[in-house]
Amino acid sequence: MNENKMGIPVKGIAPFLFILPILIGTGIFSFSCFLYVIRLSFLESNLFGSSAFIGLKNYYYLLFESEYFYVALIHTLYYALCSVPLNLFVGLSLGFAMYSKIKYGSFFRFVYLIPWVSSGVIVALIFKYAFSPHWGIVNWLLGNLGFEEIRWFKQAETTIPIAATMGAWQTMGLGMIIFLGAINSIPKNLSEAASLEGASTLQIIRYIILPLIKPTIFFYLVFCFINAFQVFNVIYIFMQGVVGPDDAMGLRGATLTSAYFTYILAFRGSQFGRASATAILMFLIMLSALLIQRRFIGRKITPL
Amino acid sequence: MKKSLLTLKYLVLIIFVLVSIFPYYWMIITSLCEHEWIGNPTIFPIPPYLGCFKNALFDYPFLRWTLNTFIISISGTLGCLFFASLAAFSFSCLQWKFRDLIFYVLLSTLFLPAFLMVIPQFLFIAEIGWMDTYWGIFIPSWFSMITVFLLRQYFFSIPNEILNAARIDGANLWQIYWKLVIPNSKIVLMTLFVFNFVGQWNSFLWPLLVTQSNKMDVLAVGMASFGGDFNITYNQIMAGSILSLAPILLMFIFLSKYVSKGLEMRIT
Repeated sequence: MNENKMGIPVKGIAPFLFILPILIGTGIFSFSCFLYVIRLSFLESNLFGSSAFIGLKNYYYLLFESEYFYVALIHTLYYALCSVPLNLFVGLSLGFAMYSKIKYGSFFRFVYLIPWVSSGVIVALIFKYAFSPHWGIVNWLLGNLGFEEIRWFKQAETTIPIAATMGAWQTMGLGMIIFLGAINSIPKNLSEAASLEGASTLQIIRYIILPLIKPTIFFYLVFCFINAFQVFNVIYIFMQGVVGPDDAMGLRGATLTSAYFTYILAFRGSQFGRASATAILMFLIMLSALLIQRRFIGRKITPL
Repeated sequence: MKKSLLTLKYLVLIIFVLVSIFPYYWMIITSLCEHEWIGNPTIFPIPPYLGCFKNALFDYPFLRWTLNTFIISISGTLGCLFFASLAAFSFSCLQWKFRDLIFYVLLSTLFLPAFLMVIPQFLFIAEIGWMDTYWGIFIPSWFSMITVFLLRQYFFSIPNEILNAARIDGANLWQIYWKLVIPNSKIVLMTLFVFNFVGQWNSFLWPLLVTQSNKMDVLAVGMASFGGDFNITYNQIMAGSILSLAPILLMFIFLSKYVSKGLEMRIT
């Protein structure tokens, strides 16, 4: 059906009245705000309202002078590196496990979605508790196995895998729904025919299902990558109480990710110009991921 | 299907059920213990200690946080659905010049990530004096282009003939919207309502920025402040977590099919 031909032809301003609220709202909160944040990134802006145009200095500072920008970027990439394969693995396993006649399917579906409807803050608190030095169950288990107590949130090397595991735990229901949908959309007679020809289930998965759901896999990869770039809540919760007051903004010793770095710059340091520049650089990276996705699987909307 | 494979399937499913449930189990156990647990963990504390729940409820403005969360989730979601359905109606059921062009220009805002937009939005809200107010929290969420997009997709399935017939019968556009299109979209509206409500209830960064006083906090922000307070023990935090998860999980028990439907809508 052609979209353009749908609907009652209407003249005059009536159609505009219907879209007016959205037009005004997105005009203010999206379009003007976007222009504003671009402008901010060229300003030396702080809380006291003094803002002077400094050209590309904020970007120059971030790319060549700041000791934290690349740290945050590397941590974010590290998070993506941990979380993307994990998400894919969990989603694919659940998708295949749920495929074809499963008893109590709606029960499983319900259970896997519980983490997804739970607040990220609460979930992060639970994980922080599980990995806490004295009271956490993880250190207790390790202690019983004869290992020494580990301070999990002291360094990024351990904080980020924990955060990524938590993220994968939270999105397992989403991954299941995405891959189950993709596998279900494959015509049944394909695998039936292969099965009649004597193909084993593993062969069917390997040679028929996996190639056919490749676009979904790729879509989910990019989706997870983009989400990984925005990881914030969990880092915020994990870093509470961990960051020592040894520098004004609490950058030192913290597991910075890019979104968290932006947050600290803007809302603890009131350096809105630098924060905007950071956010725009991150935005450009995410946009390139989307463009790559578009090239490979064509048009598909991935809201950021 | 071969039996071994079926066993493997159920094994995977059950392992993931345990993985999914265990943190919640652990949360409940901890919240029912009187002291922060140091020695060996218990399967279930007998007798259960309810003092942590009492602390969470009465020593902190917990009920107020719940009320705040409820207010912003309801107002945010209803406003969002109303404005989105109005716009989606115009973008699908009406035919006018530049309709699709304007739609796609607006849709492009989906690509703006939250952590980029909160900076200017925060400064704007501060500028107009909406800091620490309910509307400062929920009004920006009224303008959700993803909701417009999903509703528009759905509205396209309403046959042109019906719309035209209503028009010929003398209905004006508002009547077509309110008496024909909306009643016919109850299920999809319900799905989006549940979906957006959950999202609003769990939103964290924006309420964190806009609220300043402890009384205006939403549950997520309040619970985060629990996490940063060294005087609060983990069993109290877990009790608070249970209390703040309870409303949304209760809702999910009854409306879970709308959540998975909403997910399917969003990703396909």
